[in-house]
Amino acid sequence: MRNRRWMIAGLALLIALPLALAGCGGSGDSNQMEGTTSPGSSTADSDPIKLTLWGAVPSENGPQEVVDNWNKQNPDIQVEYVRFVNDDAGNLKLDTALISSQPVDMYVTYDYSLYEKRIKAGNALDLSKFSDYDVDAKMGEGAALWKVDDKYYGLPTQKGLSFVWLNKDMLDAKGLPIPTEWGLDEFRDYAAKLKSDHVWGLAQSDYYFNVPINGSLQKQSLQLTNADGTSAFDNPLTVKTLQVYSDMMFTDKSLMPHTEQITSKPALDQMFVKGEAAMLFSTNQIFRTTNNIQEFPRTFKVAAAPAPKVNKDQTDYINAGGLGDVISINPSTKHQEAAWKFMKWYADEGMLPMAAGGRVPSSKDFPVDEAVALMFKGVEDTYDLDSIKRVMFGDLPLGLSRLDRKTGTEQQAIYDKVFTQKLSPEEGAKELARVHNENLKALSK
Amino acid sequence: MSWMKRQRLVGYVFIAPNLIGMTVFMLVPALFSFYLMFTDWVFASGQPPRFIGLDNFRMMVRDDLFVVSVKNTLLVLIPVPISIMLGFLIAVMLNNRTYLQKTLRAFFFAPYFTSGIAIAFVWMVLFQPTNGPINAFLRSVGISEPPLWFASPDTAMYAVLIMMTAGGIGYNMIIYLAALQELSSEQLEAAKMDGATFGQLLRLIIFPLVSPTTFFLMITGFIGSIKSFGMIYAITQGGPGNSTTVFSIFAYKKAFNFYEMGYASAVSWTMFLIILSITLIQWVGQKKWVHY
Repeated sequence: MRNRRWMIAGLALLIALPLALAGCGGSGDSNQMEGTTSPGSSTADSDPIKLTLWGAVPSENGPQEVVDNWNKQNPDIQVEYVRFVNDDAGNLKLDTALISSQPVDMYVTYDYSLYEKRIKAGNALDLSKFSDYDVDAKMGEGAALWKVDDKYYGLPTQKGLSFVWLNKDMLDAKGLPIPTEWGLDEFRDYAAKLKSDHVWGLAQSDYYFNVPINGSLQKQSLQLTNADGTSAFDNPLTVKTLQVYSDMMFTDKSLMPHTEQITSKPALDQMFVKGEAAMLFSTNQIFRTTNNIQEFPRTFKVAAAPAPKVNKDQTDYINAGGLGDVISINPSTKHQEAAWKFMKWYADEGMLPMAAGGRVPSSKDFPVDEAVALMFKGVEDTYDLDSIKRVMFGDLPLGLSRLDRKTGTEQQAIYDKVFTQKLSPEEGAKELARVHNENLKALSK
Repeated sequence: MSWMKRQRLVGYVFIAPNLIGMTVFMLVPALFSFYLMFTDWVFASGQPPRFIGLDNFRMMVRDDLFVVSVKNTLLVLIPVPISIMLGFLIAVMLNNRTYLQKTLRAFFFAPYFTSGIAIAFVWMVLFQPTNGPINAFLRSVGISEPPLWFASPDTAMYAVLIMMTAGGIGYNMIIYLAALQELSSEQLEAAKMDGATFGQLLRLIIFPLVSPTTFFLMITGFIGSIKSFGMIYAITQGGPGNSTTVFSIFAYKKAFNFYEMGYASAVSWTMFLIILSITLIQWVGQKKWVHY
């Protein structure tokens, strides 16, 4: 009898100890109890509502200032920003948090396939329940891309695109004008002329050769398919793109070989501001670096050119870009109205501090001039503003493909093989289509 | 309660925290993944697992990338005997009186207590094709087109094997040093008096005497190699062109890039069976060469 009592006491202690420790661990993070629905939780009326917003922009690049501004204006709804890294591991962390009732009241999605997946998993609130905000009217026609089953499950809050950043001083030294429209042949020619012993003619984000390839297919289908539903990757424009990039890497040596780049992992933005690359093909995120002249001092002016088409005279080319940074509400939050109030404020005025990091608000109610002024505040003289405004605020046809994530990832191995010359451009185009077709087949089951 | 029973109970209480941790964080997930390998389950999809029997295994044998990962996983076993051999030779040298004995021991052991990711990044710099010191040296001795190492599907796996060999030497050396210091000096003295050369001493006396240590290092080395993930993933993520995709990277990509948890579980359990088979083969084979 005494033995049993000892045993029970011991087991009780063992169970109680981890629970007590877990309780201690949770005490510092009261949002779980106060924001996201949690059985048995309760909030006193006098306590402010606490919401958690998950996003991928480093907090020092605007989000912290955004929530600080909100919290000052709204003492009854306090928002905390949690940063996740927008890569596979970071998105897995967010998805795990969403399905395990961790404190996520609102979150930002940057990729359509993840957005769709989260909706299908029941992790994004259908915003049609709120009738006081016309997303199409506010955000323009580009917003419709983010409709699933004709409904919005998130607010696309920023307008972004991929374009070519130029070291204007280097262009001037070679007598090259800032391109306003160009194809890959001109792009290659510029890179070859701008390269020198210690300067790459061009640097570009990893796997960015898919930008001209996908951009040539989007007009016919956002899924990058032919009319019969098969992959459209195997076409002369894909072959040409692979050939030109291959020539830039191995014939002209104006672009760092792709596989060397992915295994050496150079900081491309820093290469650009240090003058180690004359052109940089990337997105508006580079503003974080080019605007930070204290940490990354530079003496040259930055200009911008649109992304190159495959052929200069292509009329059906769609530039990679459009509305993004889609904020959704976790349906399990018990403060849906408060989250919605924050989101409307964020889209229409609150995201202003994000402008310094290059984020252009998409809402028509947003004071765009104010955002642009903030974007270049104190560094106006270091940009060729005409070209930047022409590209960022011009009328380029923009669009985002809906290529499924698995195909995109699997195609990376094919690009690796093409740019290590294991596959010819023709074989590469066929392989890109084969992988795509396999996944299209699997998805249709 | 008798004194013995009380002692037993105290023993259980002491191991309980670890046992609970093992059960919650290892045993339960392992059993769950055992169940998942017979299902088609996409994580965070909002859908429950769907039982599909052995379909995941059928899919696996038809999957080209699985075949590549098996081949690469077999390749990463090669560094194990090489690093054991080198670790043994260095341990023998450092067991004798040499200059800077302690410094050299620390030097060789340093990779073991350094973060694997940090070491991986050092190798990434060393093997950098354009500006790395290894290729700079090769160019200086007349090789105009040195290997691209991690940047080529043809050489990336060799670079991984070199990195893993170097990474294993320090640990093997320390374990051998401990074993060598336990050896009876009388046997070695007797052999020397009988006229044994240094080579004969090594081959016929020292190596057989430390064979239990070699066996231990072989078992743990093979298991560690088959499970290797972090250093390879940090540099190549299994590329370029899947050329360094080993089992664990294959399973990781299926699970955490594509959320295909059922398929990833089937791959992980296959990996477990292969590890078990190799360990059993070694266990049976040890009778022929391990002397206790």
